[in-house]
Amino acid sequence: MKFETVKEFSSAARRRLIRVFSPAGIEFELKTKIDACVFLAALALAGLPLLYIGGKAAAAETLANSENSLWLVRAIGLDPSHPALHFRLGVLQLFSLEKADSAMAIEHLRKAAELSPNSGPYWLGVAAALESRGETRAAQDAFHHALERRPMSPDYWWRAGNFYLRAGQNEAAWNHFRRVLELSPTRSEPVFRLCLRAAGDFRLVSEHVMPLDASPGLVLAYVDFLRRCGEYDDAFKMWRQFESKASKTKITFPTVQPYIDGLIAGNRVNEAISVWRDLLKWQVIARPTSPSPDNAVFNGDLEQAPLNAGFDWRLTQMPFVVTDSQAPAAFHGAKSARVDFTVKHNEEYEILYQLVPVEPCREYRLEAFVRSEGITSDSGPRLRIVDAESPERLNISTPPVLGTTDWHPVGLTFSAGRDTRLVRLAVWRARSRVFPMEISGRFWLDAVSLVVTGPHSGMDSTRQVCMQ
Amino acid sequence: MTSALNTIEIRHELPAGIQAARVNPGNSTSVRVVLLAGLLAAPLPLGGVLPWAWGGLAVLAVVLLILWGRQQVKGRRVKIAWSPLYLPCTFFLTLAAVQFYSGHNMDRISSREALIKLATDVLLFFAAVQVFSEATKSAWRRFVAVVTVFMFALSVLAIIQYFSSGGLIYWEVQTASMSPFGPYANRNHYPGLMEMLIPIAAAFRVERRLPRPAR
Repeated sequence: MKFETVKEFSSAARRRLIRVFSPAGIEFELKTKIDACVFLAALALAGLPLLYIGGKAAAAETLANSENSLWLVRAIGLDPSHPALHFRLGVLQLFSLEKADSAMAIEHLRKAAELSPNSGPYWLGVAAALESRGETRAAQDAFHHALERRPMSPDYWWRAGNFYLRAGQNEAAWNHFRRVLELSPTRSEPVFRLCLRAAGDFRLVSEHVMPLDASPGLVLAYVDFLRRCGEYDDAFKMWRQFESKASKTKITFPTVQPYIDGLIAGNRVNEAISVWRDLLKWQVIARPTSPSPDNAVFNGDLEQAPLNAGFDWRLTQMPFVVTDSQAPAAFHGAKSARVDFTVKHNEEYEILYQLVPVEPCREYRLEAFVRSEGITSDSGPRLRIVDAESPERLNISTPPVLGTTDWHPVGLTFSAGRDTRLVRLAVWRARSRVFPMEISGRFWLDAVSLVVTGPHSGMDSTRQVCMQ
Repeated sequence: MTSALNTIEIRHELPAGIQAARVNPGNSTSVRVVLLAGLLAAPLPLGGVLPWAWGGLAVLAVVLLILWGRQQVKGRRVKIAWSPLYLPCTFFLTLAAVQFYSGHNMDRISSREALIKLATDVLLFFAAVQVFSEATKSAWRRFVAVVTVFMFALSVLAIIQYFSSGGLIYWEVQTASMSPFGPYANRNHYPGLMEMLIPIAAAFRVERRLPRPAR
């Protein structure tokens, strides 16, 4: 057909398209019985394969769901090419309490793996069955097949590692566990636990299981794992290894935080101080500018946002109290901490605190500048020093700040006892017992310092000085 | 022969549904009833995911095809209504069959199951097009009424079950899912069913309000 114009062509194409997609159908007569038979046979030809294949597959699946080995055998009879049916029967025969048959189980599991060669779980099943029969070499091959199919699955490497460990092939086991750590560093804890139990030496784990290019996060997870196992010395030795590593600059504080907080909680103050100093030296945490280098309080001017961990300030979430550690009004620098007692309430509050390392048998002077606005009740906020390990040894506070006051210094002097190595410096409010009891208003804190003023003065109780 | 000529005359005068009914003395009502009953029952066995449920649907599809064929044979005339959707149906069915029989699949059994389900759906679609292309106005009205009542009943059942079954389907069946709804273990599948049923009732209602030429 020839078209004179584009318009003619497009209109013809449109007509054809309409013909194809039009609702008009096909009609023909069935003149004879033979026509009718041919028509019905054509329909049967279209439908019966579906009836046969679909019906058989569904029946086999339904039988297999019964989890009964006899029904499973019948299901396999109906659908012998279904690998899952062989796998289920194999597993049933392997773990059956009444009639375990590991030889048949292996046969069915192997059949499942052959029918679905791309499936990893079937090969794992074969490996488990072969291992249960003591066929280590064949089981090893089955694990190899499984790992070939799922090379990026940490779970498969973990299972293979366990197999090698049970088989006494520790070197192969370490290699597999190393791959687990490479693929999934977040699942390091069970690997560390198992390897440390098997190897018995933390160095062996760090040298053989830890990947060569392990991230600082993974190494720190191991360090913290050792700390949690009570192996503080080994953990600290691992930490010291960072000194010689270039990756130390890639350390981030959140990865170290569990370790350093664990050391503080475990009263390993010297180690915690050492780690903290390293973090400062490696510039993992910023060193705050302090007017006095002797000040034991970290970030005393509150110019930096607190880390809420380690030896920095920590904020406690309390009901009816809002704390802003970076408030704009400041006595020194640009920022201070502000505490808002938003709803009148009579509770004991420890709103903001810092764990400060101190030297035993030394006299210290705590000073800070505070300001208040409309503080009610007779018990306003104070600064308190408590021995972090045992409050009975040291527990002292400044007088409360009340009403409305401009910036003014508060302070106290105390002596660290023979066993005191860590004190808790806090903004604290005691529960009031005198009417009106509820506290409301605002309180600011800035320029906090704690300096050594001399050796132990021999005084038993601390001298408390209010410089107001 | 005279009768055939008369029939042709009538076909030009009457609307499509009535016309087809006159052409084929074999009545498609029984096929429609079987089709509708099967389709409405299909989601009830836990959303049709159980092997016997989808196997049953495959059987139903073949039975419908045979019933429709028997009806055509009775009328001594085969009329196959056309839908443009047959083209994608045929394409995807052929693609799936080629993939399965040529071995280009990662999991042979899953591919087989998918192929069975796709073939079932195509057959059901074909049967539905054939029997509903001949449906009269009153047959459509009955169909919509049945769908609406089913939808309402299933919704009420699903809501009562949600508040009283403690996470069990039909107050009996425990599933791995923590949030079943209606007959479905995955509650997201329930709106899928409603998305298909609501437009049937809604469209019929809207169509009745429209002036005659717009219908």
